[in-house]
Order: sequence, then C-alpha cells, then structure tokens
Amino acid sequence: MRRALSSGTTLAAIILVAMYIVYMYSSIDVLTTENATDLLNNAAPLVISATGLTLVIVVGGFDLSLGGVVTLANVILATQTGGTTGSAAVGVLLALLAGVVVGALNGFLVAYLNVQSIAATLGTFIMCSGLALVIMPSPGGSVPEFISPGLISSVGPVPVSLLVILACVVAYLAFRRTRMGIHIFAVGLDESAAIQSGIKAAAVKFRVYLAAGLLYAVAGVMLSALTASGDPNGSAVFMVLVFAAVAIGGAKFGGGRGSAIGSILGAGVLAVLQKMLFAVGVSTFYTGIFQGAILIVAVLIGMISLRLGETRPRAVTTDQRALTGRPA
Amino acid sequence: MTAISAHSVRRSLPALSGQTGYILLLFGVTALLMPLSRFVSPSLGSWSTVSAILVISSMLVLVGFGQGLVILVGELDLSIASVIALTGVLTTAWLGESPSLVTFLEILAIAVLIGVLNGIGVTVLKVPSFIMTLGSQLIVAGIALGYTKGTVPGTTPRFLGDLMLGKVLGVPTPILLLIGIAVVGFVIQRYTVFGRRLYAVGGNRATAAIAGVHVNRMIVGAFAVSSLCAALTGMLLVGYGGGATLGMGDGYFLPSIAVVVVGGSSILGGRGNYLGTVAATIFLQTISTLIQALGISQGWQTFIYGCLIIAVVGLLKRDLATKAGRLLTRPGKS
Repeated sequence: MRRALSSGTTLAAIILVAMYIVYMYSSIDVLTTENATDLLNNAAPLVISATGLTLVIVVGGFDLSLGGVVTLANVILATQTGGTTGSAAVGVLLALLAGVVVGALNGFLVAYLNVQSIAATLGTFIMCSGLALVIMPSPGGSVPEFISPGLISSVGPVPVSLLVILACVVAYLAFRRTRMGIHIFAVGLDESAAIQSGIKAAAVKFRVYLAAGLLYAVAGVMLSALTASGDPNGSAVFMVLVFAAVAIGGAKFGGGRGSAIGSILGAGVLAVLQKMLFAVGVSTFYTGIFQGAILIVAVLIGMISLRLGETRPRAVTTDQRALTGRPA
Repeated sequence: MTAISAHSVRRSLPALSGQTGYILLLFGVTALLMPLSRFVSPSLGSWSTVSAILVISSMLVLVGFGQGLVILVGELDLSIASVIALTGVLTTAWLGESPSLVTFLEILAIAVLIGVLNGIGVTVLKVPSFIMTLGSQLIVAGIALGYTKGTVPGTTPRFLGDLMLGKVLGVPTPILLLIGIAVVGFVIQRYTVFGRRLYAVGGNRATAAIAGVHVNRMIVGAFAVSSLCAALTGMLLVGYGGGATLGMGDGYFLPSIAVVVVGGSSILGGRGNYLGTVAATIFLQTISTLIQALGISQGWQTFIYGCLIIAVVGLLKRDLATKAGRLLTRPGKS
C-alpha cells in the first residue's frame, strides 16, 4: 500500500479521478462527447510538453526553453499565409526544426560545455522569445486549416488529441525499456557512477534535450490548433502549467526519479481543474491565483509522496538495482 | 608547508583579480561604446543620451541587487515582476492623493511579506525556488489583477515624480540614486555581516551551518531584500513613467537575472560582486540603446540579450573571462 502511495503516478491518478468526480457534480453536461473532446484538446499540448520536460528532469536537468519553443512553433504556424495543406506542412516542418535546433543548442551547452541547465535554457528561452517577436511583432494571424480546426477535430469517433495523448503514453512505455531509457535514469541518479559503468553521460543528456526540444515543438503545434492564432508572448502561463503537471506527477527535481505517465496524469489534473473553475464560475481575474497555488501545492504533494517512499529502504526498483550494481 | 601556502595564495589571488578585471573590462567596454556609438547615429553619445541610459539603469540596478543576493545564496527569484506591478498599483492607489509615511511603509511591508513567504517556502517547505517564486509570481499578479479589475486607480504621488524627473546641481537625481545604490549595495554585500554570511551560505550550506550561520534565516532574508528592492523599483517606475500598469514589471523579470549573470556572478551561488551587476546593467542598457538607434526591433534586442547570457555563462564556465581579466589587470604575466 505504502509502495503504491509513494509512486507519484498512483497519487496523480487518484487526484485525477477525485477531481473528475467533483467536476462531474459541478456541471450537468460533463459527460457529453463534446465536453470530453474539449478536455482532451486542452490537455494534449500540456501532455506532450510534460513528457519532454520529464525526460530532462529525470536526467537531472531543468528546461526553461520550453516556453520559448512553444511560442516559436506557434508564431511560425501563424505566419504561414499560404492556406493550403502544403504550406501547413512547411509550417509544421519549420516548427519542428526550430524545436530540434533549440534542443540541440541546450544539449550542447549543458552536456558538452557543462553550463548549468537553468542558466543555459534561460538564455535559449530569451533567444526564442526574441525570435518569436521578430517573426510576429504583435498577436494575431491565423494558423492553417489543416492545424486548426484539423488537429482538434475527430478521426471518425476518436478525437485527434486522444490519439496524440495515447501516442505519448505508448512511446514512453516503450522508450523506458530501451537501453537509452535505462541510461537516463542512471545518469540522473548518479552521473559519475553512470560514467564509470560505461555510459556516455554527455551523449545521453544531449539526446534528451534534443528530444525534449522536438516534443515542445509538437506541443506548440497542438497549442496553435487550440488558439487558432499566434501570440509572441503567450507562453508564460502555459510553461507554469507544464511545471505543475510534472510536479504533480511526482518527478523529482534534481534527477533520477520520475515518470512521464505521472506527468501526463498531472496534465490531466490541470486540464480538469481549468474546466472545473470555469464551471463553478470563478472570475478569470483570479485564475492566476489558483494556478500559482496549485503549482506550489503540487510540488508539496510530490515531496510528501517521495518521503513516504523513502521510509521503506527496499523501495528500490529492479531497474535501479541493476544500474547501481547493488545486490538485491 | 611554505609550498602549500604559496600555492593556495597563488590560487586565490588570480581568482580575485580576474573577477575585478572582468568588471573593469565591462565598465571599459561600456565607456568605449558610449562615444563610439556616435558613428551609429549622431544623436548618440551625447551627454543627454548617456544620462538617459544612466537614469534607466538606476531602476534595473536596484532590482539586480535583490536578485543578486538571492542568486548569491544559490536560489532564483522569479516573482519580482509581479511584486513591481503590485507595489506600483498600490503606490498610485494608496499614495497618489495623500502621501503618508505610514502608507509608504505599509506597501513596503506587503512586499517584504511576499519575500518572507517565498523564503519560508524554499527553506521550511523545501520547494525549489523557481517553482515557489513562479507560483507566487502568479498569485501576486492575480491579486494585482483582482484588486484593480483591469484598470489601475489613483495618480502618481508628486514626490516620486519629483525624485525621478528632478535634478540636483544639474545632475538628474536618478543618476545620484544609481551611484548611491551602487555604493550601498556593494558595501552591504561585501562588508556587512549579513552580506558575508550570504556568501558563506551560497558557497557551502553545510559548512556555513557548522560555522554557526542560521542558513534558513539568511535565505529568507535574501528573498525579503529582493522583494523590498522590487517594491522600491516599482515606486521609482511610477515616478519615472507617471503611472502604474499591470504589466510594468514584465520588462524587469529576465533582465534582473541577466544583469547578475552577465555581471560575472555564479548562477550556482557563492560567487559574485555587486559592482559587476552594476557594470552589466549599464553595459546592457547601452547596448539596447544602440540597438534601438540602429532601428532594430524589440525582438532582435531580446534575441541579443539571450545570446549575451549564453555567451557569458559559456565563457565564465571555461574561465576565459577570468583569463581576459587577468590579461587586463596584470599585463604580460599571463
């Protein structure tokens, strides 16, 4: 029981279910397909970025460039004026390319120049914000139809955003079992031990930042589908929500522990919360207060669950035991 | 024995002179940039431009001091933008018509309270500082928005307008303020017990605790000072801009970190010199004035800011800056 509680994923799942039940009582038409699709659409960008950020946090870093990449992807799409599917594809490719470039720069700075991740990604975040303003000096424009409403509609009965969320879950579960998936936990737990057991820590970190950059760009595309227009300074609140999602999911800031599944559930909690506040009729003036409070409370909950886990010394997973070479 | 002590002396000396050299380098480049900027546009480089740069710097230098102390103990304060906005709003709303010392102190007390809460969250609850202060940034911004319902009430108190737009013996008062803040800040950080303990906490918390420093109190103190500086900046901004807006602090959030990092302080804490922050502030303001004169947009300006931060943290990491500084202070000996 304690083991289950100590897992951030379980805790996030419990909170999500509890919140959803409260939400169901707060409004009559919660269970309509339309409402469910809406909720999934809101959650999708959070889910994708939270998956990327979790990887960075597991490897022991932090990534502020997330907000910059999301904004950059958004303004790139909003300035694609062609209107055809072709120009939309060009826009998406450019957006993803931007994410990869920024991720590579982060990775290079952190992994090979040993710059502290907060400082390096603060720099790239500011760079991205600047570039976003250059591409699009003031909010406006519209994204190609292929993106919006394309990515927030449904394929048959299944919403596109549900497919995207499921893809994140499946991809992460598969990734965790790969060699690289094990290595990121090793590097995050104890970098020098990982290096001594033959893991190329710098290469692992570089690839994590690269992958995270790409995921943020994908999240930016999904977010653009939701907003349908461009905003060069619109990412601050989104970024905070992603931090909160990862914190609720139980990832440990400092590295070595965390699960994208937990973060994805955390993103779900926040998406439901937004809907619930709206349904209950809280003025938008005060949304910020709730979001700030949730962020802090989420981290506290995460830490309490970690502490519950630490009271049992045998709560070391098989993966970790194999990595640290400690006998069972 | 002598070999060891000679070695340790040699190790500590270049580090010190390197940092001083780096700060001198920043000041020197800035001093060169000012007259050279005449080549870019004839209107630049005049006394009025230089004085405008220094007047604007006086506010960033103040925020940079508080942020610098928080960075010195190894944390970050991301809440300053909304503290600036909230105090700005309260200044026009409460102080505008009938300025009184009590109200003035009340506003500062609110800011200090926010800082103390940040500090308690970081030390007692052990929430990572960027999460804690990002949370309080959202909460404080929400309070400011909820209090004003979108439109800021009140007017600018006259004494603040006089302070920020007035002159003493032909010198704009903000420039005198800038010099005062630089001197006081440098002395507080370098020579007071409070400042020295902050270095100790930032260098190694366990060692500081063993040496009898109340680590948690020091960290709470740093956050409180940071909030206080942000509040005073909010007031200065009201005087300078002739009013308050909800977004008035936004332009200080990232630059406050940028000036500390570009000024040569370690983002990990334990190392830094306030004069470096002052130099970096004037340097970055000069650069942005130059960029504006070149007709480059706000976006490119922000982009260049980002590049500068990356360049500096990259350089400092590789100790190239220290080497450059050594070249400057001890020519021919490197």
